[in-house]
Amino acid sequence: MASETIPVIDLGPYLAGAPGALDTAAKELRHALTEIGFYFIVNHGVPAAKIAATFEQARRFHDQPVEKKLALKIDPNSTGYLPMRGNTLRTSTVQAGTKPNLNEAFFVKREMPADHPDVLAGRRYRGPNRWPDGLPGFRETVVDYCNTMEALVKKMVRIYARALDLPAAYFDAPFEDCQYSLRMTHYPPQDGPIEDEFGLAPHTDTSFLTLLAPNDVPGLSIRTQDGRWIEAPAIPDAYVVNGGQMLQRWTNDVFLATPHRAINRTGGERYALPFFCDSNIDWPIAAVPTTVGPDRPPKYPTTYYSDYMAWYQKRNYDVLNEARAAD
Amino acid sequence: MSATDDFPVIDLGPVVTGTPGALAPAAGQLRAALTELGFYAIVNHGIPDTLVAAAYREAARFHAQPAAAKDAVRIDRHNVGYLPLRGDTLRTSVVETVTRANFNEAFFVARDLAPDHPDVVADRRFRSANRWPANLPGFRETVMAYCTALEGLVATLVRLYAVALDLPASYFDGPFREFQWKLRMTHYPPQPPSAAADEFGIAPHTDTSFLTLLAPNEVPGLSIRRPDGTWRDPPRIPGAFLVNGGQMLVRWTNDRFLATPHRAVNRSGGERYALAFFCDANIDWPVAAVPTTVGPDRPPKYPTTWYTDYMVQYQKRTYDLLAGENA
Repeated sequence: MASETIPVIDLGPYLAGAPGALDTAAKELRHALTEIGFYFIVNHGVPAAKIAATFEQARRFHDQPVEKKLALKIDPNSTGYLPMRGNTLRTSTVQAGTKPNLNEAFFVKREMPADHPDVLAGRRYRGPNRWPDGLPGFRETVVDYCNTMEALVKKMVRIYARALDLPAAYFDAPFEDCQYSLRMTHYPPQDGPIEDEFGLAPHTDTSFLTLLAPNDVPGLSIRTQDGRWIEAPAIPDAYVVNGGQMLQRWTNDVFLATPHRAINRTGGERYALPFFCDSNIDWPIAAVPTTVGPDRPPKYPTTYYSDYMAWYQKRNYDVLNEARAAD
Repeated sequence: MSATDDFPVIDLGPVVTGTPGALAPAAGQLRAALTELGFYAIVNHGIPDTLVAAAYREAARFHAQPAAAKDAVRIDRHNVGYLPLRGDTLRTSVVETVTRANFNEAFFVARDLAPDHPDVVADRRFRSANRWPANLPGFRETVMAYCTALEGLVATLVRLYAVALDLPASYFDGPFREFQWKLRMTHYPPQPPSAAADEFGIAPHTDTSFLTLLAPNEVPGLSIRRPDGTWRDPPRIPGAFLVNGGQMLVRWTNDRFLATPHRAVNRSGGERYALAFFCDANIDWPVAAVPTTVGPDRPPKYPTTWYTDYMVQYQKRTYDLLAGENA
């Protein structure tokens, strides 16, 4: 049974400040991220009502007429609306040559004040969000959800630090103004045994960590280390967490970025809310000290969020490239 | 020829007062200083002359005590307290083979931890209470005021180091929260004319530190070895602190910044005192090359280490009178 494979970490004692709970959770996390690359968290403190409200906003957004959505077409900052089949995962090292993804999504990043120096300077990935008109309450609910997730991430990175034998505060500064992106995805029902069309083709995330909101509608599959695909079980109220390519870089491949995919065969609509999180935009991304040495050189050159994401986006987002070609 | 000739002098005034844009030019000077000579002077650093003078007076007062009073606070395994004349031999020197003990006596002070601090209670190495002399009223207060002022200056300096290494300005803020420091209050008696050529006040050596702040000194005695192997005296700039890097800086920067050898001999005919403030990162922070100095083609030259491990090894080699403690 899959729930035996994907570990469940109870964050309750740590979040309550119980003595020794941080190191206990760190030990479990280390196991999860060296052996499986995915884990569940329970007692994470995110109210179920807040999650439900955000799912409801995802449904509301995608229920809009397509012209309304296309008015917010995704921009170079990776915020806005990605239409159905708008991206193809060419960077996937998991399965090559898949068709464009059968999902549509709305991306939100940190809500930046209009007079923030990065906004004024037009700095990439630090732009204003693209909010829809005519959806009262949408922005407030979504921003509140993102703030809640950010606060949780800031607590979780302390577990990552201890899991890597680093001081608990090691990631505090890098994640102070972390780069995040909420993807509000709509997977329409999909039928037929289609080999190379997915709601979301097999891929690894780019992130340091991804928090996937508890979902009543199945569809996510995870590739185990021995190459089998297993369906993620639905554990009520549990977030699914995984690492991505940035986590591999931060840990010199000590932690895994496990491939996953999504197909909605439920016959109904499916929505998903992954929250992708990375360090501050200016922080160098390189292997932490406990994962390198003269005999274990860094496997990846030091990189930065902007450079990495610009490369990634160029490879995968057809819709953006079309927009740029038309400029 | 000016008094400073080719010796780098960094005006910290604009940085200390928080002038916008002041970090980058000062960081450029710092990078040049630490890649070319490994020593530099700072002016307008904000440490009052009167505080420096007061700290020197306390050094003279301490060493003027009878030998018995000094022996009562003899140096311990935490490296605080009194080191007698000829109490250490710099066998770890990579500069030259050193066999003679140093002709100086010194009093070491560390961060003044409260007796009920968990590290003190646990007798954690290098986290002890200080060993204050019993009969010198005002000594502790003056010395601590001096150290606290220098601690603030170091918090500013590490931001320059970060920018000089192409890192975010706050990169070292985390590692230097409650950082390890040690004040060495040294007395160099006049070197007897009969002294052997290889007897020094302090033999040629590199420091272990990330950075060392040496208080302005009116009595000459310090010499610095240039990269070409020749020795020079630093210029005497009234009110200027001298700063140099040590073995830890070399590790943090993968050899990009220098740890320059230096030595001291007091041939002034009178007493000489020196106030060296050695600084390192937080005791729990891993010491390893920062991301901008490593990569797949530039592996780390040194294994990751920690203050405690490194200093135990160093002390074992250098401090004869602690041999029993380190066995």
